[in-house]
Amino acid sequence: MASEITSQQVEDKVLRAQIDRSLRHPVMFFFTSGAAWLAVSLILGVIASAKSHSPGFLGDCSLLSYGRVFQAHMATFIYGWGAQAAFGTIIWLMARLSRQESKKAGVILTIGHVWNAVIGLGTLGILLGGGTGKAWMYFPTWVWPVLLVCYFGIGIWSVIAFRVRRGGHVYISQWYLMAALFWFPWVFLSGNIFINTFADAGNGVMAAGINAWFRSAMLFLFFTPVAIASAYYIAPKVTGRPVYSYKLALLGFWSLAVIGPWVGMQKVMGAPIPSFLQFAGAGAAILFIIPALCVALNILKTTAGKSSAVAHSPSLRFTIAGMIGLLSTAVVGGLLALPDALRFTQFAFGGTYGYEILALYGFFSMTMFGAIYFIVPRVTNREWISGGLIRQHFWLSLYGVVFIGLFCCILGAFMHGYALETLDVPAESAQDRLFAYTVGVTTGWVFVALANVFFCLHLLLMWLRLGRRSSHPTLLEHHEPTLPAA
Amino acid sequence: MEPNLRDTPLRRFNTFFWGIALFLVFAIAAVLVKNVVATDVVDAETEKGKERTERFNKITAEQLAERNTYKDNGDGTVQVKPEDVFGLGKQMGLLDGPKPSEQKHGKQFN
Repeated sequence: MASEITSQQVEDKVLRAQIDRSLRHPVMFFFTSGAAWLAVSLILGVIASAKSHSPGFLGDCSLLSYGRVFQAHMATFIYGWGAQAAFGTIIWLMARLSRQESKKAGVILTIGHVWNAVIGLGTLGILLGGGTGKAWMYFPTWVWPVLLVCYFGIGIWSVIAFRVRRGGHVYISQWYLMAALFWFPWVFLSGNIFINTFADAGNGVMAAGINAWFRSAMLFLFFTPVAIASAYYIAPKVTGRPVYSYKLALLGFWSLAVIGPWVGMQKVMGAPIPSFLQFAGAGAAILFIIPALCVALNILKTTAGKSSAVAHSPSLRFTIAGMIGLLSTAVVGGLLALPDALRFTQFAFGGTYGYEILALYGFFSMTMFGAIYFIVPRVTNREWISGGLIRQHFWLSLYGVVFIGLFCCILGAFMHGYALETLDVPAESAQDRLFAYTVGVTTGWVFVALANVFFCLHLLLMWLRLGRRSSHPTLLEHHEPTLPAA
Repeated sequence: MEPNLRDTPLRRFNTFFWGIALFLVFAIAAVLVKNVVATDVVDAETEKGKERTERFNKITAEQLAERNTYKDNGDGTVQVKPEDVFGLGKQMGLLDGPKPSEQKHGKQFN
């Protein structure tokens, strides 16, 4: 019996190694190019933010005018970094959980190159003045159909891997991955088709409402499920414990599926579109706390009592920070959806931006960093070169996103909005109140950008297989390794 | 390791085409929503917009007609088209390009 179990374990290990080897290039390509786009995006973010308090900065170059740089910053963040980090995580997690080697790694890699080329051309198009100016759809209009076709070519193999999975069991992570894989085409296609194709013939005000929905739907129905899937995989793996509560996971999943699609139109509160859409959006934004609580509690309870693993494992530390980011996103999103808060933040500088940075960086990106620190040593068969670089990446990211998202943007938006609403205060004074916060955002982005440039280089060295040859993982503190092998 | 009975070429093949069908369903649903649901809606903003556009066009036409009219004002002056007196305007320096104001505005731009 004992020898039978051992032989099963060996077979299992061989299968895992085969899966990792089959996906090495597409996964590393998505992660590395995603990290490179993140570094580009953050540098553009620094320039855009600097222009908000020093309009003359690089002011003679039309390519770098505020409107263009800001659009390029957000577009590369969402589709350059966010989507590619999600793709790398989806294809690896789905292959591992379905116990299926990738038979189409070459196809995925080729389409990944096309995706990057399109993002590059789209970004150039924005900088040359061809951006649409529509939030989260900033690229010139020819870009979205190409991205959708590329998405199909990347995502379909994970759906096939799920359909032909070994064994009948479906893991919690797989629910979320399948949901994200199906929701993305719905949201991306509907949003773009209604705004970029039908908008000319329809109602422009409604197009703004659909755009507001599109931003939230991309966040809650694509980036959120991918990040949650990663957290549900990493927390039990690193701690060596089962997920705390299956029922809580079920409640979290279905509440996200029911509430997620309604969020968004509260952003256009007061616009001449049906009021029920605006208030349903506000209600759903507040109710988003339910799935967020279910997921975050489940993950935190799974890791409870394993504080040394949280402290030492880079993957778990980033994942737990991401879960705190999820809770913060839900709470801040609920507060910003209240009509009394919207009065101040709707037209003020930084309210929506701060919230989106909190969600995209504080929650999604932190969880994705956790996934990357877990996946990369497995697919490259090397360990991370430097614990110090990982520590620096963690702390600069954490302080940076709290400082930028919560303090500068959201508090700054309330201060700015309050000054704008107070009619006996001159408009100039409202700008003066904002000045310190905008300088703060620039400073924060400088540090986060620095951390991510080094993260990108670290990742590139790992892809070149220059990582440590060791059987012990790179941990954040020096101690005897106690973590179970994945 | 046990063979995986779920992994058949037919299952892989039909999943691929179900995927394509799903994309098409979303596109067709969007076209249906656009053409079936929204055709008979009377939109207050568009109706108001028509009225505003009509008024705007009327005023623009009246202003253009007034601009192109020659008339004796009866006080020793005549009304002519602006381009007829551009030469005079140039002599008077009215057509010079804009220059930065020398007046202090009290604001600082970096």
